[in-house]
Amino acid sequence: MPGIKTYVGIWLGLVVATIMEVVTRSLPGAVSLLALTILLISSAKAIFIALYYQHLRFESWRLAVLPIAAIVGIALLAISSAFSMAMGG
Amino acid sequence: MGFLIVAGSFGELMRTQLAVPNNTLLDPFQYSETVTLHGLLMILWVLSPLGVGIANYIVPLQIGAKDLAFPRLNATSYFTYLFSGVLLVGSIFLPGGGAATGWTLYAPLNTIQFSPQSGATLAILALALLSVSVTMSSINFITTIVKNRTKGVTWKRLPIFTWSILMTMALMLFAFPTLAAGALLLTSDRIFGTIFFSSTVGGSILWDLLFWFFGHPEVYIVVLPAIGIIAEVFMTSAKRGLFARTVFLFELGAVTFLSVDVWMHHMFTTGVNYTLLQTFSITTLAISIPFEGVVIGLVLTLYKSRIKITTPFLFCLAAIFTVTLGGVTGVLQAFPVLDYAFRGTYWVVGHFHYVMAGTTLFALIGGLYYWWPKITKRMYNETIGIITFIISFIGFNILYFPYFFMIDMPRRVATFTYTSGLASLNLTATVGAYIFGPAFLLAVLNLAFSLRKASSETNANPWEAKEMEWTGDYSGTGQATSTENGGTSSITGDYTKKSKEIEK
Amino acid sequence: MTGNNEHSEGKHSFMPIVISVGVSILLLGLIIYIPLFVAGLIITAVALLKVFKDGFEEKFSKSKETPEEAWPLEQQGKEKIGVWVFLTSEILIFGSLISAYVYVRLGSSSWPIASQTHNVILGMINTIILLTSSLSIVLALYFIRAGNTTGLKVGLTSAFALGSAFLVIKLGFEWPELIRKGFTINSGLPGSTYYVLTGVHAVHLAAGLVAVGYLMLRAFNGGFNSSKHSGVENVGLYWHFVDIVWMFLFPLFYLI
Repeated sequence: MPGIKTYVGIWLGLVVATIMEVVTRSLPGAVSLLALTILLISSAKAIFIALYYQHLRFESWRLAVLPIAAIVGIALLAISSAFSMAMGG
Repeated sequence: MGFLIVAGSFGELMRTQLAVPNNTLLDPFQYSETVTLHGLLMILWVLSPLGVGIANYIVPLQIGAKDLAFPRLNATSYFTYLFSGVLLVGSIFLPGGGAATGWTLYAPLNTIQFSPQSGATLAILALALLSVSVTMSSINFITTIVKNRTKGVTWKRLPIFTWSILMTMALMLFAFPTLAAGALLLTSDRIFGTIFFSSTVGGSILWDLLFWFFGHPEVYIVVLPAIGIIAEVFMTSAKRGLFARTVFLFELGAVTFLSVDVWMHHMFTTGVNYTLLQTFSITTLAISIPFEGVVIGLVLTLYKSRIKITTPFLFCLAAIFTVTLGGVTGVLQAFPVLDYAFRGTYWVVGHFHYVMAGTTLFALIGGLYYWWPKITKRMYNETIGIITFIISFIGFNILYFPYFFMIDMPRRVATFTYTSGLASLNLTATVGAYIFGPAFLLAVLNLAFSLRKASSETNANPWEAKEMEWTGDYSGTGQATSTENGGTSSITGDYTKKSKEIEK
Repeated sequence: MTGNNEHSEGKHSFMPIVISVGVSILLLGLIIYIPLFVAGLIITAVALLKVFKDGFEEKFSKSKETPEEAWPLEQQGKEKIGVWVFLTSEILIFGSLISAYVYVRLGSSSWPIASQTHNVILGMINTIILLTSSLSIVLALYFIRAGNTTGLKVGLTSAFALGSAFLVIKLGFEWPELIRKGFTINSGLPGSTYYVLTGVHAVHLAAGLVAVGYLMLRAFNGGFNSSKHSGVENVGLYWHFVDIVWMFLFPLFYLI
C-alpha cells in the first residue's frame, strides 16, 4: 500500500493536469483536436485516481472487471449514438 | 428464522401480478393503457421477478450458502419492487389515466405535450424505482455467487441454473441504469420542462437509443433464467449431465455478451444510417448462432436417454418448442429489409409472445414444479399437472400462432374493420386466450393445492436428482451431509454410468 | 445443511419495508401532492438513520460464513465487492447521460461557447477542491490502517468540509449566477444538459457527504481501529468514483 508521499504526489499531478486542461483550451488550434487532448488528460486523471486512490494497482485487478466492461458498454452506446447523429440523425 | 427473509421474498415474488387481456370492450385510450400496462407488468414485474424469486431460493441452495450476501438489501429490493408495481398499477387511477404509450414509451408520445396526464409521469417514476430495485438485486446476487459459495463449489462445478442467474444479474446490472437514465431525462422533460425527447435534435431517436440499449438486454434478462431451468430439468429428467457442458456455458456467455451490441435492430425502420443497419444486422445474426447452440445442447441432452415424463419436463419441452419457433421468427426480423414488412405488426407480437409467454413462462412454471418438492416438501398432483399443461399448451398455440398470419394487422390498435379480413384470425386468438388463461392458472393453482397436504421428508427428492441442491453434497466427494436416497452426487459425466443408479 | 461455521439466527429489520414505503410515497407525492413528497422524504430519511444506527455488521445474516470458495476474490470483503458492482451500475448511468449529452450536442447546429457561459476559473478551483477531498479521504484510510485515529478524524472531516464547499460553490454561486444570466434548465438543450448532469452529480456527492458524515460519527465515537475500518475504505471507493465522474464533467461542460 502506498505511503503519504505517493498519495500527495498523485494529488499534485492531478492538480497540475487540471491546470493543463484549462490552459489547453486557450491554445490555438482546431477545437476538436484540443477537445480530444483535454479529454485524454481527463482520462489519465481518472485512471490515476482509480489506480492509486481506489488501490487497483495494489489489489486484485479483477475488482475492476465489471467496471471496465461497463466502460466498454458505454463506449459502444456513445459511439453508436454519435455515429448515428453525425450521419444524419 | 432467517428463512423468513428468503422464503418470504420468494413466496411473495411468486404472487403473479395480473395479466391484462386484450379482448375487453375498451375505448382507444383505455386500450392503449391496457396494452401499456400488460406489457410493462408482464415483462418487468412478472417474468423477471418470477425468475429472480426462484433464484432467491434456489441459488443459495445450489451454492451451499445460507442466504444472500446482503439480506436487508434483499428485502429492500423486494419491497421496492412490490411498491413500484403498486405505483404503476395505481397510475391508471389518477385523473387523466395512466401511460398509454405502449410498453416502449416511445417519444414524443411520452412527452408532456402528447401525454399530459400525471399518471404517465407516475408510471415512469415507477420504472425508475424498479431500476433501483433491480440494481440492488444484481449487486446482491453477484456478490453472493462470488463470495458465498461453500467448500467444493468451484466455478467449474457451479450449477447451470446459478450460472444462468449470474449472467442474468450481470446483464441486469448493465441494462437497467440506461433505463433509469432515460426515465430520469423523461421525468426532467415532464416536470422541469426540458426538451430532451421533444426537441427536433433527434428527440425520438434519443429515446430509442437509450430505451433499446436497455430493452434488448432486457429480453435476454427475461429468458436466461428460463434456459437455466430447462437445463436443470432436462438433466434430471434424462438422468444425464448436460451435453457438452463447457461449450454450453461458453455459448450462454456469448449470448450474454453479444446481447449488449444488437439493440439497434429495434430501430431498423427509424431511418438511421445504412452502416448502422448493416452492423446491427450482422450482430443480430451473430447472436443467433450461440443461442441456437444452446437450444441444440439442451435437446441433445435428451437424445437417446430414458426420459421420465413429468409436468416440469413437459413444460420445459414446450419451452424448447416455443423457443425454436420464436427464435426462427426472430432471426427473420434481423434483416432490415424484412423488418419494413414486420415492424409494428402482429408478426412481432407473435414472435415475442412465443419466446416470452411461451419459453420463459413455461420454463419458469416448469422450474416451480420441479423445485416444488424441494421447497415445500410436498408433492403436487402429477395427473392434474399434466392435464393442465396439455390444455395450456394447446390454448397457447391457438392464441399465438394466428399472429404470424396477421402481418397486416398493426400493433396497439383497439379494433379492426370488418373488411380487413382479420376477423376469423382474431376470434381464433381470443378463443385460444380463453383456453390458455384459465388452464395455465389451474396449472399454477395445482401447486398451491398441494400445500394442503402434510409435508413429508420422503418427498424431498422425488426425481432422484443428483444436483447439489437436492443431495446436499457440495464437494462431490460422494458424502452428502443430508442424503435423501444415498445417491452419489455428480453433476457431469457420471450419469452415463448406469450401474451406479441400478445399485441404488 | 452444509458445513457452515455458526448458525446465528438472523434478525429481521423492518427498515426495508419502511424505506420502500417512504420512497414510494415520496414519488407519488412528487406527482400529486407536494406535502406527500415531504412526508415520504421524512419517512425515508428516518428509516435510513435507523439503518445507520443498526450498523452494517452481520446482525441480519443467518450465519457468519467464512467464504470457502471465493476465487479469485478471497481477500476482499463482500462489501467491497458489492461496492465495485454498484459502481459498475453508476458508470452505466452516468455514461448513458453523458452519451445523451454528446448525442444532442453533436446534433445541434449551434452551442454556446463554454468559457462565455461558465466561470472556468471557479470551475477549476472547484475541481481542485474535489480532488483535495479525495486526497483527504484516502489519507484518512491510510491513517486508520496505521491505527492513527486522529489522522482518520482529520481526514474524514476535511473530506466532508471540502465536499460541502464544492456543493456550496456550485449551488450557491455558480448556479444562481447562471440562472441570473438566463441560462436555466429549460432555456434550451445546453442548459438542460448542464443542469441535469451536474445536478445528478451533485446529488451523488450529497449522498457521499451523508456517508462520510456517518463515518465521522463513528470515528468520533471510537468505532474504527487499525483492523476494523472497511467502511472507510468502501465509502472512499464511492467518493473517488464521484470525483472521477467530475473529472469528465468539468471539461465536457466548462472547457469544450
